[in-house]
Amino acid sequence: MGGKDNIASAAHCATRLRLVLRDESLIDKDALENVELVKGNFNNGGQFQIILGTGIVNNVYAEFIKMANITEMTKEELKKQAAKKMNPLQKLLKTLADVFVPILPALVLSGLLMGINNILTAQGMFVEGKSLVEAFPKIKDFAEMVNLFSNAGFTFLPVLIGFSAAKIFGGTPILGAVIGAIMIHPDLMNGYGYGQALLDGTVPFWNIFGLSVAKVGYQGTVLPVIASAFCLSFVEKKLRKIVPAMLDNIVTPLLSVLIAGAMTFLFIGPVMRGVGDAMTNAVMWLFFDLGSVGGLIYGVTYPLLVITGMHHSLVTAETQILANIGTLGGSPTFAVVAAANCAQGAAALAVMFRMKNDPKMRSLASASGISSLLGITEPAIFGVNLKLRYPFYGALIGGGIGAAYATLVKVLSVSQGPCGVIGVICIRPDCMLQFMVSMAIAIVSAFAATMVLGRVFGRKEKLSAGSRKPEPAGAEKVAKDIHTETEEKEEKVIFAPIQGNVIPREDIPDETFASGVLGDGVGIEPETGEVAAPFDGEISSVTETRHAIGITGPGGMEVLIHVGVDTVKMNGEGFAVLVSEGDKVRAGQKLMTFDISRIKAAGYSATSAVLLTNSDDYPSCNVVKTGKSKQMEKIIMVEQ
Amino acid sequence: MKNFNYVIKDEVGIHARPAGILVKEAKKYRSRIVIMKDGKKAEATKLMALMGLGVKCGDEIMVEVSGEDEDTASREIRTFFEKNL
Repeated sequence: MGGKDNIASAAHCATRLRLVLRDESLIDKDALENVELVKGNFNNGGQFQIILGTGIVNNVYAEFIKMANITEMTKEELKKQAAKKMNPLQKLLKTLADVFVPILPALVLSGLLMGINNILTAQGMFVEGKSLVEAFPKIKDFAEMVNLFSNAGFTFLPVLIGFSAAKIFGGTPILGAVIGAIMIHPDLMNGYGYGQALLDGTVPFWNIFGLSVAKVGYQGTVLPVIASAFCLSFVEKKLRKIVPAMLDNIVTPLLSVLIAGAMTFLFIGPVMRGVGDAMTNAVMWLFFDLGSVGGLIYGVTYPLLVITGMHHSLVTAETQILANIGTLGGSPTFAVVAAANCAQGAAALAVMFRMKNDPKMRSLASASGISSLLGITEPAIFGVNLKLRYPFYGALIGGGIGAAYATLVKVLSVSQGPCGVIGVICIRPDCMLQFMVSMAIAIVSAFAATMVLGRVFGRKEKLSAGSRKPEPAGAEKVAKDIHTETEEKEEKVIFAPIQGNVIPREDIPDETFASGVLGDGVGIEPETGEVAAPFDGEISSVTETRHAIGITGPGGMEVLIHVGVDTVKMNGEGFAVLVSEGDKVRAGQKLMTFDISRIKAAGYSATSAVLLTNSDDYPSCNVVKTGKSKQMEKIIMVEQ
Repeated sequence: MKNFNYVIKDEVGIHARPAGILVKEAKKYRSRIVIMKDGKKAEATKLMALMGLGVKCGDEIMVEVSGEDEDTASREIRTFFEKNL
């Protein structure tokens, strides 16, 4: 192959290893053919392809990239391969990350706004005994506005998650949003008030066919919404198979939402409620019976609870403890939570230092890291730490150590407030110094742990940025995961060039077209005699008989539009071509006209072939629409 | 490098269908196979380029085969033309 420096990139499909080489003349073909596994090789479209066979190619590819130290151009097959290797926890984390990636801008924005609001309203941070708002009443309304803006993203988070999750699970995104909206409907008790209501015994109930169902909203929650969206998508996909096409638009959304919504309140609700009760008891036990070990456990588990959204239930415990402040002297939970949060922030900031080649990740890491230090961890957890995984583990370690120290020296809080560095104002004055020490411990140890873990597991960020330094074995699996998470698969669209009935390629009444020798695609039984450009591109060939046009488009796609079967014999009669070779055309531009009735009168089928002639060069080419179609409807998606 | 000339006998010339089969045939070999007509060139593995040549019945083309399996490839491609085009 001419050594690893000669390899620009590598990928594989079902049977072939596909390489882009800098200098193809360096290939030792004889040696290659003498390798037993190699079934053949050829050069196509700038790629040197080695045929290995199903199953074998995956293993060869894995070894190959290990030897050559490359991970670029990972394709869909690889994603599936990587997904298969993951354990359930990894799959869950990957799903969470996938769901959250599109929502991140909203989370980061809300987190930072919430931080600003915390600064404005925190008691005694800048002015003795007063918050900034109290000291300067003029900014009160502004602070309220900031608060409202910052809340919106979190309050309606389930809608955003519902949309995103339904998309990931293959359901209709907008129905996912509806499920999310149902879960935070204003008529339900606000999820944020649930902890207090549970304590007061004022949780409202529905009586549904004899079952009592808690009328509680899911504001700010994550896992319940994802579970519901999964349920919705599952039901929806099943229904689409059963329900006749005519009723599909009416029946499927109705039943899917009804079933998924009911499931949400019947099952997810009670589970959440039970967990909430249990957690209150567990928290009391951890702190008052276990001491610093309890603090450690709590500090480690808290971020996990944030992922599930169940941390809101912990307010119950804290409220209960603070209610007995006279005897207990204050709550130990606050410092622990603050330590856990600061650790997440520190881990995200560590990522910022490591990711020197990824400006996008760096800016996300810095914004979410700072937001975490102010007490809002969701952006850091979902946007950075969980996505890369190792910073999350680093944060758990740091958070645990900081939390254990805080519990050991008994840092007690006297009120609730922002659970970050600035939370110091909620701490009993005699504990304030120790609080800051705990935070420093959490931040430093999380930062250090993340840097160390990053060195061991986190080579990928450098690799994905294109460098080719040696890496320890095992790292490339992680690298692939990251790669697949950060890079949306790229698809290009072929629009219907002709209005009419789109049929599968196999049904074109011509053996050559139907067999796929000329590439994958569709047939169209035309309704109007007009051909439009299926994408922006360049006319690559026009036959002299004016009945077929070749056009090269985005990503090198070469599409042949062949009007009618055997119409070459009409010698151009009834056809008019409006473009010539080399012309640049825009999607939708009229390319040629033809006379359907003359084709039929001449005794030929007017069924036209729209074929991606180099479909072999792409991982997949999917027909997304058949049946009656308008001109310029999406008919084929080509993965690049 | 091997080359030969050939006069197309197929009534529709190197149009979509024959071109498709030619591409399939040409891909079997490691050698680079180039079809030339009136100074225009096209690689035999590229369908669009082939069709762009506009080769019709009675046209004379030149086929150029170069690569390590050029002997076999040239022979086989010639047979292919005689049979199909």
